[in-house]
Amino acid sequence: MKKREEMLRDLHRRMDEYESERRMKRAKVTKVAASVTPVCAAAVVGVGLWKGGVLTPHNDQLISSTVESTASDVILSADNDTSADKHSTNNKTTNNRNDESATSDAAIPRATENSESVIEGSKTDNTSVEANMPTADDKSMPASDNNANTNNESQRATEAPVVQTEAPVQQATTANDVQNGNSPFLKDDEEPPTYLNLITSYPSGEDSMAVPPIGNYGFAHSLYLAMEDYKDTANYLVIADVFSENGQVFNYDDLTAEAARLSNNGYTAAVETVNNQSGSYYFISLNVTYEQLQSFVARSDYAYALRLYNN
Amino acid sequence: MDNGASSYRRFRDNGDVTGFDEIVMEYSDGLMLYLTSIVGNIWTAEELTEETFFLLGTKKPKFKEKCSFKTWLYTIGRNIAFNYLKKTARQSTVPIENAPELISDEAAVEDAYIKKEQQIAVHRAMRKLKPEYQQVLWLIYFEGLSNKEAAKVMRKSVRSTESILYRAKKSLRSQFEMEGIDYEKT
Repeated sequence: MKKREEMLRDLHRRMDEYESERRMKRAKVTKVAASVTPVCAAAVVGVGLWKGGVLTPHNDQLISSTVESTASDVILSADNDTSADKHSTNNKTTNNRNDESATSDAAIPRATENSESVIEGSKTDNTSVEANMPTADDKSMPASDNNANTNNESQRATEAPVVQTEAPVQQATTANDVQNGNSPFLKDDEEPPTYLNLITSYPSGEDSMAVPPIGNYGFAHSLYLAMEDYKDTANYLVIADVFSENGQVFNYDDLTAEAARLSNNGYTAAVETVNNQSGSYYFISLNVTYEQLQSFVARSDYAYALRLYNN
Repeated sequence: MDNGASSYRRFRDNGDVTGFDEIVMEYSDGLMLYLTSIVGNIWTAEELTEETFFLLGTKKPKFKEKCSFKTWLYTIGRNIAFNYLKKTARQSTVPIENAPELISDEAAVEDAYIKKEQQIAVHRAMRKLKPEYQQVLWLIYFEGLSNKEAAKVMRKSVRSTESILYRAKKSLRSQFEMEGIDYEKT
């Protein structure tokens, strides 16, 4: 049996233990909270910024334009493989065709910015479309039956158009860029850039066309349908088959001169190479707007058959 | 000290440990004997008394002065005792080897707390009554609580407490007669 003093002593000891235990618990909780709270706060801020779209200002535009394209029964870049198959079927060994959106886009601005670069470029790499330089000065294809050629093209027509979205060139942003106002992010008073789809093919049953008279130009059926459908809401990647009095022009120099002329007239033009077993031949590719197609600047001694790149 | 309320306030509000010590010195024996009437064992009652003061010293519940401090304290003690009884099967029996020590311990507390010889005899006679009768007799005749306060501590209505008190007194009288203790009829 304890005396009252003993009970008091026991009570004080137990109360002290209880207090120290509570203090330890509190310290532990504070420590855990101090380490966890900043992580949670950072996560919340990160998610907030991400969901708010601050981290991806340009991608939003791209995504919305892509979605629109899909909605209008357009198949996206999956058709790149199809186009490659098409060319191989016709014994046109076009290497790196899978990259055509990249290579074409890469080649075309080069011609636009400096048309001479097309002429003065390297002639060693004839396996790449991007390096659209000839291996020999004059290896033009023999003149062939244009109708037959276009018939072949029509057989290759895909059921769905290929649409490539022109993405802006992403450049690395440095701290100086941001300071100088060259940040890729939009400023408050800046309008967001407009992104247009690039039409490279369009479904059409028959894509043959007659060669237009000299000094004129004509659209292939698929291109015509695509223009009717998209009008000026898209850009068009087309091939311009050039004809003179003597038949289709395959001569590299003539085609580069014509590409340079078109470039000077505001077109985005390039000369591309196709290699096959019988040799290489060349054609002009154009990245054009609806208006540029409608009022095509034709040379008086040439006729132009314009068709979509992948039809 | 106004029934321990001011001591408790000093301890709770100002952290004055002497206030707590005063309460323990003043109320521990009475609370222990009261809890003995509930658990039927002075040692368990001692542990529960300590537990009551431990709760007072750590959780520091607020005394709202709706009743006397003693009533409040005894109510806390009673709740702790009943919680204890819920957790463990009530064992009013004590191992035989501990019985003499137990009786002597209880007697020591009685001697310390109950000064009058006559009251000690009554308290010993009470121990043979039902726990409920012991409680009500202890609270009213030894602790000097009113019927209302005793009812509050026991968590019963005043009417029920008075009824229990009546039957407890009757039972005590028959106990006196059995033990041959003289008493005055009131």
